[in-house]
Amino acid sequence: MSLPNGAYEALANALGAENVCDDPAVTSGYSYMWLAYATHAQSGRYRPAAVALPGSTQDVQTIILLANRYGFNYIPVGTNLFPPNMPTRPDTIIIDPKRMNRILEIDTESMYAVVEPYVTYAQLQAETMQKGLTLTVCEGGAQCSVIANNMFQGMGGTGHKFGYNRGILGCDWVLPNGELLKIGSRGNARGDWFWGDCAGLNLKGLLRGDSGHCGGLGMVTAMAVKLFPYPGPKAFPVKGANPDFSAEFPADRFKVNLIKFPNREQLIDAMYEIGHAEIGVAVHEEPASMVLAGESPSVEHFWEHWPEFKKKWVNVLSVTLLGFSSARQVAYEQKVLDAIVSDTGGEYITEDSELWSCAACNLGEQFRTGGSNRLFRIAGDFFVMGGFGFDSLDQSLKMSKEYMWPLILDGIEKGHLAPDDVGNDWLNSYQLGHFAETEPLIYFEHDLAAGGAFMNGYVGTIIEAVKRKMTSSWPLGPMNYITGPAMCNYHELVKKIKSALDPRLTSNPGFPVPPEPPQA
Amino acid sequence: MSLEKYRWDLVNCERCSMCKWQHPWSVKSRERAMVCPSLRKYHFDSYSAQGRFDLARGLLEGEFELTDRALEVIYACTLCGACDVTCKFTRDMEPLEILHELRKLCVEKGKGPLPGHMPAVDSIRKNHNPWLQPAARRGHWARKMSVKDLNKEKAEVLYFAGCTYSYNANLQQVARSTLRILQQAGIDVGILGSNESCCASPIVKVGMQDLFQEHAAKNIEMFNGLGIKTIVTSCAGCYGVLQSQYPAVGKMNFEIKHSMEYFDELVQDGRLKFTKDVPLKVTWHDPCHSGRGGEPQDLWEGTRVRWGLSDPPRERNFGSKGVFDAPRRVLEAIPGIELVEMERIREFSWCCGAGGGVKSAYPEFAVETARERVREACATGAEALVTSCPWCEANLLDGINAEGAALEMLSLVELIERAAGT
Repeated sequence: MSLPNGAYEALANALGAENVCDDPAVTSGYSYMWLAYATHAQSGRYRPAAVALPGSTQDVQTIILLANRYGFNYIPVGTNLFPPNMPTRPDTIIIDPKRMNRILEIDTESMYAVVEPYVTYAQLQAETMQKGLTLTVCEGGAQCSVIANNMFQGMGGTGHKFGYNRGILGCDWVLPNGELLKIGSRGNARGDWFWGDCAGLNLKGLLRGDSGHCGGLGMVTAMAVKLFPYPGPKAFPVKGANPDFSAEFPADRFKVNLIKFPNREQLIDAMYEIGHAEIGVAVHEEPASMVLAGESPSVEHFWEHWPEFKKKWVNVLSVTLLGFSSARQVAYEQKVLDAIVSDTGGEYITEDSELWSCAACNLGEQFRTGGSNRLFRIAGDFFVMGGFGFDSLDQSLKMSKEYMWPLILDGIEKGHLAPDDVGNDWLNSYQLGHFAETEPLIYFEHDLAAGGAFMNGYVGTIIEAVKRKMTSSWPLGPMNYITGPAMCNYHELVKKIKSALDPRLTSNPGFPVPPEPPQA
Repeated sequence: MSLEKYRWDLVNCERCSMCKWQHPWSVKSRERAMVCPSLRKYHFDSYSAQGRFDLARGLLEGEFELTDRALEVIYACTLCGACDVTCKFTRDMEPLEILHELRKLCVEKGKGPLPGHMPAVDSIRKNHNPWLQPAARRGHWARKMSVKDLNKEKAEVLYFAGCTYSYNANLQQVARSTLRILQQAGIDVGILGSNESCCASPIVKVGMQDLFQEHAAKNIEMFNGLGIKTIVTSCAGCYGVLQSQYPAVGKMNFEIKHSMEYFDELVQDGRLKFTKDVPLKVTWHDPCHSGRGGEPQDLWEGTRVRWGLSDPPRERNFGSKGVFDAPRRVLEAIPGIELVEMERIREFSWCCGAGGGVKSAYPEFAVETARERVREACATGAEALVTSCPWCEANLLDGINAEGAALEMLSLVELIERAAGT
């Protein structure tokens, strides 16, 4: 947990002594990662050697140059809700961007915003809403960093309309050699932010494909993200008080439909049709656990109501309509949706029903996540049993039914996972149904047995997807050695890129892919 | 170690960062989204509830010692409880209790309180007030008033002035005005004069649990013996500790009200009437200890069982049932007053910066936090910042002076007095 001789002093000289710290009282705040269960059993082992607080792109360049000169590693973070942020090597510092928290620009005509790494979705959206614009907000919660989330997936509630991984425009990116690379239209003579692509090769592809480089290729210090029209109130229309909030958007422009289907196959038929018709802004199958957690002010409340609720909330699709241009757009899309629901055998949950009241926060949640972290409440932790993106809605459902749920039921039987045996997933349509994502949610406490069950399921699903010749997303770090051989050996190319840009392996060394497969 | 009671919380925090911000739906701007003064000042995650959880876990598991930096991480916090509110929206955890436990641990280990806290602590021991003032002069604020002495007479209401309103010459007027209004409304009220003793909030805030227990027990015994029905106090600090900490010390045979609540009741039932216009645009600052800290606590003793369930089930304090509406109703009842709200209000109110021993141990941090609140108040266009807590009033005034802001610092009772024409 110590840096090479002289490195700490060099950092303190460059950044100011108050902006670097190696005291365990401070570094411990970066040592425990919720998803890396081993850290609990081996607590303290993964404390970073120091934490640095850069205030500018130039500061970040300085840190990275010092890392190369003195030979220490660094991990850039955002708001820090992500397992690869955990330092696994002793000579590693965390680059915490708390002092880089500005919104540099909101361009209302070209519809983009430029942010630094410690700007959250809630902050950015609060500002863009005042200007009649919005963006898709990540499901990890609106308290997460816009840049960090876009560097990983950039997915969010309204991704059905706004897209998956489509938000990144111009970026300022400090490479692992300390050079500043301006990508997209940032490379133009005027240094504009409005475009993510550029002449020649698209360098944005180096930043991220499916799940980004996880800090393994330097640090993005400013990013332009795409904005979309927003016809709602300038301030988020929150009502109520902690812990019971609701959101009241103008009904003529914002509408949630909750639709119950006899089975998941018919639900998916409806999702396809909705995509074909190009209606809706958010289209999700919502599992009972997610909905009940969203309205539960305590873990006791959840488990008290769970036995009855799980029987009632089965195969429910949530479709949110948004009138970007007019109220007539909502009216039109509602008529189309009515026809689809009729054709596919769905039945609307009416607004006077008990089930509707349980999902009262649904509309607000699509636009600015505030309750997604309530999923942790159910048992202490939650994650996805090997879900993620697959080639299509059909394949998502197939993998879920045939592979993931048997694993989940096994974990429940062994007592590792909390008893949610409903068999419904959080199943999402992205880009009007052209891309699907399924998340069979599992709930557990932070202990090694549960962690092991989860990790086996996570890796096992990726192996199974490869076997079935499916495209499975979210292979992180060493998992690329599983997916790579099935996909043109892309991991070998990524290794070469890592080696070329980060020859000393100082930038989060195990990412985007470690130099050797884990078994070696 | 009593931190052990919170092991489940420490281990199962997933660092979602909710503790650092207002609830996302309440965020209205980039500038005022954050809710933790300590994190805003020091930037490192360790200066947030999440980081302090990690510190607590490390200490619990013997990973490291209480270094000077650890003491700063633990004590450079106003204990405002904002993290507690936002965390509890998503999790069944107790950040504020854990922050208290960390301070108790410092005291147990002989590392706390900090030198900056000691003059106040010693003064409470010796003089029963933190201001190094003789106990005999405590009742002097009321010496020119005719009021029942509850050491000798009976009354329904004890007006508990608290240390700061009793001794601070700039703030004593608040106690006098409050008492005068209560008397004019026909309330049977008295005071304890020089026998009033510190509520001991400054002691419990720095982690000296044993001394607090001793002090609070004596106070409860005295209060119970007075035959009163109600204690009214104008100090949010006293109110908060009486509401949330005293019930764990002993049974009390009276109710506790902040003067804001009492004034509100008097206005509602017509015993307090406003006859004069007060043409002023004001904004209201919710003190932490009467606001989110004014909600009674469940004195839960139990364990966390499978999936984090509490056995027996615990009622959580969400911070939204404190004294929020009463002062706003009173202000809105005053003719001429225009109330404009700041961005961070009610359970998400930004702390004034003075609490948790910060004013004495980290005065620059205290004023910096106050300046942030003053800028927020100025952004509303208000002419005056109004509150009802001596710690808030004094520190926010420091903030106004440091900012050079054209903002008047007022106590709610001053406006009431102007409107009532007393």
